[in-house]
Amino acid sequence: MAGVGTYGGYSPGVIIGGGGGSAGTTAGPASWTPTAGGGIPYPPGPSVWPAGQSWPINETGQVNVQDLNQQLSLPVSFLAAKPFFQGAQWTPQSIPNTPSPGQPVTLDTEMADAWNMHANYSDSSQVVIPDGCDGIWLFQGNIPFSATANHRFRAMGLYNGTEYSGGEQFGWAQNPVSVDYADLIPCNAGDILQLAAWQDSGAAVNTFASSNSTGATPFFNGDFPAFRLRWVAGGSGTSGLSAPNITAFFQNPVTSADFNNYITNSVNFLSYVPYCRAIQTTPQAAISSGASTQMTGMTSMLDNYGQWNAATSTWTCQVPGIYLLFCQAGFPNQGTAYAASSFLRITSGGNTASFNGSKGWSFNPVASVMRRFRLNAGDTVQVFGFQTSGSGQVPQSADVRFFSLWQSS
Amino acid sequence: MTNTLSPPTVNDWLAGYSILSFDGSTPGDLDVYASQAFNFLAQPPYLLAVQTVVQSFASNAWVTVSLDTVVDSNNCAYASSVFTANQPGWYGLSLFVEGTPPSTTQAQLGFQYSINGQAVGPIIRSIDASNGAAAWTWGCYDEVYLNSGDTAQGMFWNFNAAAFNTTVSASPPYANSSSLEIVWLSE
Repeated sequence: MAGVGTYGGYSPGVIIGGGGGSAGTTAGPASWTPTAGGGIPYPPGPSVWPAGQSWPINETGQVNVQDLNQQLSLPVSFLAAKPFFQGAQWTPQSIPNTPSPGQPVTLDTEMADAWNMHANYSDSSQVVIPDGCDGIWLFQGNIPFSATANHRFRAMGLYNGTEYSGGEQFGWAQNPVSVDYADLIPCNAGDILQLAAWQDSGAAVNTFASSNSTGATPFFNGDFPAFRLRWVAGGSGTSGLSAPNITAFFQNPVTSADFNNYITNSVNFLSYVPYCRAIQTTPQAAISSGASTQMTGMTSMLDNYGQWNAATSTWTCQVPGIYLLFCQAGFPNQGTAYAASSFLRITSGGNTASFNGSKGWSFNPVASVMRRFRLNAGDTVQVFGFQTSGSGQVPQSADVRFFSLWQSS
Repeated sequence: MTNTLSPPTVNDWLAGYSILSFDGSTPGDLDVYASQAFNFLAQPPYLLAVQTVVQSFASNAWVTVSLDTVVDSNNCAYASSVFTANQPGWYGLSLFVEGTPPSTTQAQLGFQYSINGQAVGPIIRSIDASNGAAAWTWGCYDEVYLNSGDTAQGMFWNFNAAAFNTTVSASPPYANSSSLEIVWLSE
């Protein structure tokens, strides 16, 4: 646990911005630019080596141990234990009616915080990006509500007090209801992220936190709000690389080519794995009730491997592997509950199939999918939406998004 | 490639200069501290499992989501719908369930863990209701720290007074099958 005041000049008491609401926004770090070296806390590689020097073999044919520590040990240490925070709420919190943009979710328990990103003696909803860890972060959370009937309940992510994006929006007549949120977000050290809750029941509603009945493992029992934040890649780096697969091992004599092939390329790939985030920037026409329809007009906000085609709103796999894939679609308030879903339309090896996630049922449903699949180079993914209101509905652009993240060969 | 490697060990290299070919540091050291480390990080433990045999979810009871077919796996153990970690670390999990609930059906889903031999959870990560449609889908995700030997499994609770069946796809890519996906994320 650390004081958030130690990071990036931030002091507690930050002003929470307005805007947002159930329809979501695309506010956030639109002007974000990565720091030199992508923010990773170790040398980024050959681009900074002195001209004419081929690391790590120096002019006397020796290897400087400091190079090994800086360019091998430190990166391996960082990449094996990437910055990560997970917090939970065990004491229920009152969420006011229609908070703007959303009510930050307090986190009374730290489940993992080795990078000192959180302090629960200050504003416990705030998680601060640590020094040296600029880059792309995976932002996840879920919020159970002690719901009342037939209203809207939502999770969202806040970036420096402003809504970055909204998550699932459900609502139904039984208690409780639990909604999820996930997104990729570029951050600099000192940025503040918060999981936030929103509802419009007409009165305050408590979050739902079941009793912690298993004392020996107090953090892992039942139903409670949770917030997870994980560094996944640098904000800049070397793309076009293949994932490490070192089968020809080091042999005497070890050459600089060995170091470049086995170490430099590996560090550069694993520090800057393929990722992509696309949002709908051009609204599309209403989609018919009961008809699966592609979400169009989507533009990439993050894409380090040239994976997104804006003209066709299609993602194409560049590096084979297992990918975390997420998509979401939302539809407008009709004053009566209807069902909606989004799904990943994947074409692999010439075969096309659709993969679903949680369907939503609400006056104003927003539904999302998070799945993991093995994909080959050339495989494609598109975002589709579906709704059953009985009439055509225009997708809410602010709630239409996709992201991908390479996770394994 | 598949592997049985452990998470990386970071070497504390000796101070000063080191001639790799003939002093205390050897190519073998680099294989351990570089090659194996990168191979592990590039292909960490994972499991992708799906359901190809229809399952019935009883009323008002926690039920393990039955996943009879392993689509892909590496450096882990899996039996009877239970994932067992071979390597310690934080794991990312995603669970998907598809079924044919009667009328409007509220359901909750999440993950049951066994950590150091103690049952933990189910940890509920999604609660949602169907609207009477003939088919409905649920999904959720979580991250958890597992030591070697700790386990995880997908769990589902049907609030409806009547049981209902899942829907399945019998062959790849198993688009309509319930699934559990797990990937090692970090130490």
